[in-house]
Amino acid sequence: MRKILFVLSVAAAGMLSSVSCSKESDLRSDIIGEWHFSDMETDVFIEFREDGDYEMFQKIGAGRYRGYAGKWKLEKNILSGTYAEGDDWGSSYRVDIKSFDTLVLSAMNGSGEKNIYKREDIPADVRESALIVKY
Amino acid sequence: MALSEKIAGDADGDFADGELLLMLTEDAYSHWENGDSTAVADMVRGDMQLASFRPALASKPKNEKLAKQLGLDRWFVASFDSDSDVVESGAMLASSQYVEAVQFNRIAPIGPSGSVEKYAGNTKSEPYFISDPLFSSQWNLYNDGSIDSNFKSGADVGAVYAWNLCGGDPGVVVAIIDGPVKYDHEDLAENMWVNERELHGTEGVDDDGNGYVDDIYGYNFALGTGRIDWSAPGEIGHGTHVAGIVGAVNENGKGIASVAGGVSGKGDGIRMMSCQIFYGDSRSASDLQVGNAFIYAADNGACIAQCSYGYNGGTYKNDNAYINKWPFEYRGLKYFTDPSNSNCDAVESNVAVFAAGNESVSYSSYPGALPQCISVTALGPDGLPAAYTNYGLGCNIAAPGGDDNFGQSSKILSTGIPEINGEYAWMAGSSMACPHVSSVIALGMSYALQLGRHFSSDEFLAMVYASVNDVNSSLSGGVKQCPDGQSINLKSYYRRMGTGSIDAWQMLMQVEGVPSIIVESGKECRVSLEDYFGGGSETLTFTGADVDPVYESALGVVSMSVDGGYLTIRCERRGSGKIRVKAIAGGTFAGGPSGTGGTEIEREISILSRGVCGWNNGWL
Repeated sequence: MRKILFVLSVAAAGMLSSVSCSKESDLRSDIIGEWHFSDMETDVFIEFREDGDYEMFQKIGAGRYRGYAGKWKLEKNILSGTYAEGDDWGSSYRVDIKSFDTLVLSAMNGSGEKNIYKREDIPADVRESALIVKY
Repeated sequence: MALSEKIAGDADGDFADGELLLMLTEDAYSHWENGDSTAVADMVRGDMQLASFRPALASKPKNEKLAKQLGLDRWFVASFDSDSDVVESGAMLASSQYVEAVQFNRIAPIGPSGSVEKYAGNTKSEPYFISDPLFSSQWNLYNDGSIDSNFKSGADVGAVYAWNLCGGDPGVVVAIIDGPVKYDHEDLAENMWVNERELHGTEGVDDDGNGYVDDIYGYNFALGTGRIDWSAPGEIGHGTHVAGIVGAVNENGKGIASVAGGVSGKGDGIRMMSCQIFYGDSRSASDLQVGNAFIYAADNGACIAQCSYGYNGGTYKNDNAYINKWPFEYRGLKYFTDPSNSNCDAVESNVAVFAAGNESVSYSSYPGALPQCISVTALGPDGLPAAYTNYGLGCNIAAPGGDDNFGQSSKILSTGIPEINGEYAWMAGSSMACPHVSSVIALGMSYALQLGRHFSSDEFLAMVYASVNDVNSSLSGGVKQCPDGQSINLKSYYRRMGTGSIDAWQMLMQVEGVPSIIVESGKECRVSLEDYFGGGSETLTFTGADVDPVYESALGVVSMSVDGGYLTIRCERRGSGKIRVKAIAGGTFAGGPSGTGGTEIEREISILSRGVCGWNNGWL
């Protein structure tokens, strides 16, 4: 039993080490996928796609999900992007992948805001029911 | 009290022959309550010759406490021989110490609806979205601009999108206070309110004990009978046309569609109750009849009073002027909209919707101009004001009403009376705009019931006024040509058509709820209020914003203002809280006892103050 635990902990340490030292391309491939952030009355799903597009579905307080889309890019470990209409995000973010399932985005605008996302498929009903935000 | 002060209003205008309304003093009324009706009649009569003396209430109201509070129980009708001088009789009644007020039993004109034409055939070959064969001619429900090149795509009520979520609910009853509704019409029958106990009861008997005999589909207040009657000379089918706009049966393979007529053809639409106040070419109803119609509607389950009538715009220029001349109707309306009489679990009180009027003047007609009523202006299929519509003071919201500009198809197609104007007929007027708003409200109530939501009266009204598309961006200049060779100056209508054009989809989104507004802490943020005040928010008049001390502290609010549809706010702390923003629904100032104006509305806005704020409330 102790041995198994030991093995597991070594493996975990190895994973962390490999992420923190990974090349930008590795980090990029780790980001790709579907993520979920939830806190109090806030619920946000984001899908970062291989082609540099993203889709985001957010529910802040009441009402149904609102859908956004646009472009994302990663330079070193800094994630930035634009909305479909060309407006920059409200901040760029430092990226930390704590494990395969956990993405930490720390705002670079001086606010110190840090949000932890979990890897999770975006429910079909969220995509289907969302109101798409456009100009 | 001086004699003249007891007589409400003057004797100008039309009023019922041989009848006066009077309000007993509380002392005199106490005798009546004690069963001494003969003594009371004798006291009031004095030396006068009265043909009859009876309570103004046509039956005992369900909500006796409220009726008493409003003084409805103290109103009586004194009838005279037809050769009596009503004005002279009024003065004599006013001289009685047992009479507190005397009122001429005024007559309301029906809301004019423009010309009436029979339906002559489809204008498009393929139906869209639902099976009702005439749907493709109903630009008011779905306008893609294809019927006529002058039609504006999107200038409709947004029904096809709303139907994805809700088509109505049989628990939502709309009282059509108007001419008769042809309750056996092929496209209306399934959505008629039916008083089952009267339907299966004995003719001539008040089977359900509600004070009205044989009121199966509503009541005929014009004739004082349970029989809804469209046989009178001069009947034009106005009430039936209005009813079709509110709730013609959808997906039944017949005729037209409607906003709240269901989606299955199997009885899932709203229900309509016919409160007939107009009878044929007399086209009029007395203060007494209309007041009782509102009381009946409230007591028998209606949530919405759909009222395509009113007194010409500008006749009354403040609330008191109207109230003085129509005391019984006004009290009936108060009875209908009082929270203690709500007939819908989703909303704290019933809602009354009126046509703004068709005199092309910058005043809404009353009673629609009252703050507790919704006054509806009319738009054509081009999304521009119809030339006939009233606008300006007291007007709250716009809707498709149709016009003559591009031929028959620019009017509104709805149900008719076959022997009068065909099974389906075209009409135009603010009378047609009004039921679009009533039906959207009915749909909103239906959806709220579906979701188990409940709203206060003020909250719900503010949601209605926010369920709109912008109309003002088309009204900053230019002219609209009208078929008679005249034109209207569009700038005259700028910010005077109400908050915007009603939209069913947006109504349902309001019912679902509105997201919090994200602001970035430590920075002054300017954010749109469109989600809370609708597509016309940028041209709305905002009257203030405030925040409770507890939220002010939690958010660290250091500055806050609203202007041009935007909230400018600076929060020093992160967290969530609420602020309140006030605006005027229709015009630039609120109306009231001393002047006609808009209705002040208030929205509670949720704020999330955090470290990042993206484009258009975006999270990233």
